[in-house]
Amino acid sequence: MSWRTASWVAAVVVAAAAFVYGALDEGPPKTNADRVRALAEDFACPVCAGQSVAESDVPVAREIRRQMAVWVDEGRSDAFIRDRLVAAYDVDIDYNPSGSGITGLVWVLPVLAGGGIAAVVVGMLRSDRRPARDTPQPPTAVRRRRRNAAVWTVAVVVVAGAAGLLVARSSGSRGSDGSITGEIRATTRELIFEAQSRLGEGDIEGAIAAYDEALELQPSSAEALTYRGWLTSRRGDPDTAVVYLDDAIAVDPAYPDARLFRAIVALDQGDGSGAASELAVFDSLDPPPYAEDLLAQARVRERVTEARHAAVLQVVDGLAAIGERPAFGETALGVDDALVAAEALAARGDLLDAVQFLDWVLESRPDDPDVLAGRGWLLVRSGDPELLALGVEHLDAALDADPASPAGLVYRAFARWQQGDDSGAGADLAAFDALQYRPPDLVRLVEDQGLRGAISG
Amino acid sequence: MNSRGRDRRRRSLWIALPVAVAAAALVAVLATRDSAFERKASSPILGGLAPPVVGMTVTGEPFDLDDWRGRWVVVNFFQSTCVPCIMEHPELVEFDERHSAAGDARIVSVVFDDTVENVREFFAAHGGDWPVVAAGASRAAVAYGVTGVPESYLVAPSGVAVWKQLGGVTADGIDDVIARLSAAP
Amino acid sequence: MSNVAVGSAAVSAGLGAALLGLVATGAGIAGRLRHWMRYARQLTFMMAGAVVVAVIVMERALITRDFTVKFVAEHGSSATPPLFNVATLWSALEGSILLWALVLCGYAAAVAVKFRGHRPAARRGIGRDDPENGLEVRGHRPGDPMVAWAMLVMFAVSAFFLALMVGPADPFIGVEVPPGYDGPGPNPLLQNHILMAFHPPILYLGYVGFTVPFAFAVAALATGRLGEGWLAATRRWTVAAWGFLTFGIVLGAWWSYETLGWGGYWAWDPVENASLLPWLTGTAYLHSVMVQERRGMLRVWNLSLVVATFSLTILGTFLTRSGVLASVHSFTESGIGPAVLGFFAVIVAVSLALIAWRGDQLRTPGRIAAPVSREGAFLANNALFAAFAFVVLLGTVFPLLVEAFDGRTVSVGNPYFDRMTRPIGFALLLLMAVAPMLPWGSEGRRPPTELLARRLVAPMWIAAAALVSSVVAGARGWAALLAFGLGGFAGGAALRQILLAVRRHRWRGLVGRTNGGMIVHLGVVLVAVAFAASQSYVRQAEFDLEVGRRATFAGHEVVYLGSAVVLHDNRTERVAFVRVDDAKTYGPAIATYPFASQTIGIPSVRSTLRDDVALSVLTFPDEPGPDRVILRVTVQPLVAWLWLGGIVMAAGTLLSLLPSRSKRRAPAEAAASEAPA
Repeated sequence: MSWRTASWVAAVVVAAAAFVYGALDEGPPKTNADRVRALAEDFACPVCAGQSVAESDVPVAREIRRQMAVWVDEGRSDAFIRDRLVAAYDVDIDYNPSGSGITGLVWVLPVLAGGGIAAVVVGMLRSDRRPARDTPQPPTAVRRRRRNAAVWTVAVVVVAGAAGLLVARSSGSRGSDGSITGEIRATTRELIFEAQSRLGEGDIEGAIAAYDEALELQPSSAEALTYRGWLTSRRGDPDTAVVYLDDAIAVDPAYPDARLFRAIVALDQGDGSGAASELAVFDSLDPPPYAEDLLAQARVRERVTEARHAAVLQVVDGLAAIGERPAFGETALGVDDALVAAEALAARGDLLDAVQFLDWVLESRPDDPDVLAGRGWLLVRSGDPELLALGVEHLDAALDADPASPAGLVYRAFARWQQGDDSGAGADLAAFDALQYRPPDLVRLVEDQGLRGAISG
Repeated sequence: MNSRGRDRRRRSLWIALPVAVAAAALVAVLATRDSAFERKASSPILGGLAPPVVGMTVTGEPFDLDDWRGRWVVVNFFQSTCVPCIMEHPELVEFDERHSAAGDARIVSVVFDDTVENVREFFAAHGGDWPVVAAGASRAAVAYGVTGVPESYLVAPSGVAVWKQLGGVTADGIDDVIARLSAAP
Repeated sequence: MSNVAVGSAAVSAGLGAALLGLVATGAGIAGRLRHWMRYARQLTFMMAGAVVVAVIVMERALITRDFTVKFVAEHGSSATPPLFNVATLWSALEGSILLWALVLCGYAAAVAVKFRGHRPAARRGIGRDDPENGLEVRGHRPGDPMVAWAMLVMFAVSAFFLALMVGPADPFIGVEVPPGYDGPGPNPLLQNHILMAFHPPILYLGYVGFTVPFAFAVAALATGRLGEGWLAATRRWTVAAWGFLTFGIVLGAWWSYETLGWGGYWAWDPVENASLLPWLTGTAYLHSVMVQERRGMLRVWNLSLVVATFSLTILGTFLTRSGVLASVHSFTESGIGPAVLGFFAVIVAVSLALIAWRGDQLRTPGRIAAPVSREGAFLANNALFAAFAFVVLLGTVFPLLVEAFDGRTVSVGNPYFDRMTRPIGFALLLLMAVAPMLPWGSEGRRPPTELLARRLVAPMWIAAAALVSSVVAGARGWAALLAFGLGGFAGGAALRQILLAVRRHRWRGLVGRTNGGMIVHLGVVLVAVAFAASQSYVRQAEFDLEVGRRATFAGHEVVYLGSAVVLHDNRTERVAFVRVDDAKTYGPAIATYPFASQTIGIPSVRSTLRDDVALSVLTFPDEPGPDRVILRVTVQPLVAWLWLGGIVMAAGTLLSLLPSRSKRRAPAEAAASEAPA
């Protein structure tokens, strides 16, 4: 082996080794943002002249990019995204012409042309090895040459045409598993699933690592942000947890889990009102059952109520400490606060204080149905038949002031049921059901206490 | 000219002729094309079930177009800074007022490439208190194939998308369409 | 006198001169009035002079904001900065036709000067004493039929473009404007980057330059002097036009990268394709012409390539200007479409008819002796470029074909072009490595395989080094690695040739067609590697940053420092100050132009040889609270190599235009490159 051969072999081996290693090793994964960009380049901006969704900066291109990001975050395949876009914008949004029908020609013709060109070149190279054409040739030779040429032409057309069809088939569509934008090794969804199963095994650190990986792929995954924040707070770092959870809420304001955990962390930080507002949003979101379970498990409602009670009681006790109590109308308290304060006083066992407190409120707001109803409700719940009757009077007063007071109707239904007046209770409940707006807490109260069943049964 | 010369000329003709035919066909195609600047106003979604509009409104309430099945619904895509949207808005307000009592037709606006803050200010300044979907708006816009704002779709009580308007709508215009479509079986 | 009057007069005078020139050369050729030919040269100068006057008048109108000229009223503005004021000429249809005419008439005048009687062909020793093939050998005869025919074609083409300016694309239409009127200025995208001042003129120098070889090709066909004379006469013209076209395309890519802000520089837009098509056929021609010079073969093919290149520039003009294909580069609809299309049809018809008519003389007895030879490689090169051009042309016009066939609209874009051109690109890179090492078929000193084995060892090692270093640097994926390996191979081959030539001829080893060509090859390799790297490893993300917040992405760190509003004459910018990697601060901005409905993003790029960090502001979400910005960050490796490659290609073209040593010594050696090592 000469030195040159050796050198060749060495160079080829080095190059091939590097190439094979680099071609087989997967390298860092494509992030969702990278996939979005690759996808956006493959679709035409519907209103722009010859620009792709990636290039253009008109609003519709921005919206499509935004939606592509959502789809990619959801782990959708390229084919899914393509189908959605075509359904809304027609096929000419797709820069990748279909491999079937007449559009398939765009894939077949170049291969056919390439085959033809190659055949001509090969033919030129071959024919030039034969004797020059200038020498006369016998007619049989001419005929044979023509026949050969015809056979070759047909062969080239058939082979190149078949190759072209293959190209059209493989290129003119998007695989259902999303191959154009590159190998999706792990979707955010899979990583989140992995994190959940680790969490199930009690492996908090493992779960955090999986969520971090998911967040690397998709920094805007509300789910990963939420649970990453939740686990952070479990580890005893509520301040960092708040950052994650607030990011999650910014990404998806309608994600119940984020609201729930944000409320819990707020409670842990002693921010009762913050927790209450998150809880209110949570309730408005129609949360799934598992979230409700979590909520019950963490006693969030109770803790929010307690926190609110504590806060309001502080004010009320402060007021009580002032020798000359000002009129309710002169304080900064609202009717809601007053009702909560009364509840809080009652919960502390000071039923009388609570009733007196509301009486004080009524001095300033004589006909407020909510206050009247609240005062009645305090009495109704006392369990004392006398107080119950008194309470019903208050509730009647409340409903006189406002026949459509939801609280008045629900509370009186309870009172009447306690009094054994099922039909009266049923009437109140029916009136309540007919209301256009039914406060969720009252609806929950009716459900929790099983009032309907009790009345009908 | 000898016979070989004729042979060669014939060969060159054989090459030139297909090229000439191809070129002529290309020229013919190019000469008969309309300008690419003509915009098409049809939409592949018309005639099918209207794509979903699900999300959160700017006031933080959940919204789902399906809840409004049984009514005519105008799905209006808009942007607070676009001048035609501002010009169109009083017409939408008018339309809403005409139908708010009967409740037979409603409007839902969908924010297009805009911020919630801007949209709140827009409605505070120009009136109108129908739902304005913000979260989930991109999904709706892309599902409807919105190309620019303002753009409006009319969804029939059956839930089918029946009409599309590129650019501003008028209250009378929508009512006309509703009347026409209601009259037709 | 008003600008409108002077300008219109100048254009009409130019058209008159062109028509007269047409008559004069025609009559001269017909042989009746030979002495008329003498006036042809003067008429060229008159025509060029008239167009120069028209351009000066238009520029004066633009600079002095003479809004009585409709073009200025529609596209000029008192707020446009001076440089872009000049560039406003080519920011709209009429002005761009005027620029086209200027370049065309400039070339016509240059041809008239150059061929006034020198003997370029004879001097190069090609076609010497061979009146059948060469240009007129003996002399100083302006009436040489070949030059006369070429001038005729130049006049005809010039007359066409001047007629456009008298007819549907008249730049000098007068308008009445109210006092105090101010124009909207050119499209905002066309007035925010300095490259816009250079990209179109240089591109036009390339486009229009191909008129010269076309004119001589037609002349050769018409006169029947189909030998190598016309090739030699126009070689430098062709190379120069090719160089301008190349550099113009690269500048266009650079411009779009710097101004559009999505990290891309080539989008297979119809107009980009329209500029690429003549480049592909022109490049094929530059290579195949050497086969004809050396072996007398491929006459039909070379003529066809020249005709195709010129026709494709006209087709490109049609696609750009008529509005049949939607493109960002398209000007708004104009009436010149049918005229340009008709012109294209005439060119193709005439050329084909001529080629068919001369078919008997075009076939040559030359033969390719061995497939593995320089001429065999050139043949393969041409096959690849032809396939490349076919792919691009088909993809560009396919939507129109489908629409004509069954009325549907489809789009053909990025995925198609990427997939179909990539294999061709790989094959061309491989050929670039092998072909320069191959001997011509007649040089049967040693078997070519043995030569290759000897000459390609070093390039192979460079390829291996390129592969290893890119894998070490983190490159993955077969396609990009294949491009890097083949790029190293081809670059190594070019480097080897350059080094050998320099060792033998000192600095003269860098000049001349062959050596300059190798430098161009180096530039092509740079571009190819940059293309593969930036397409394969681009990373992009959008960040929502409050003041003071930082984001880390793809190994870079950006910090948002705040924003400021900056007032310019023609626009208002809101600039975001973003520090990259704790070093320099960059200022991507959003600009509002008074007459544009939309805001225009002005990206800012931190560029190094290793990678680029491109920043563009998507919005400033002006909500209560701290200042925020939505920032798009694009990190792309090796983008700067694209521009470097463009500059190297331009430099190589320049060097190849200088006369080389070997040519002076022995003309027949001109095309030979390989010196015995």
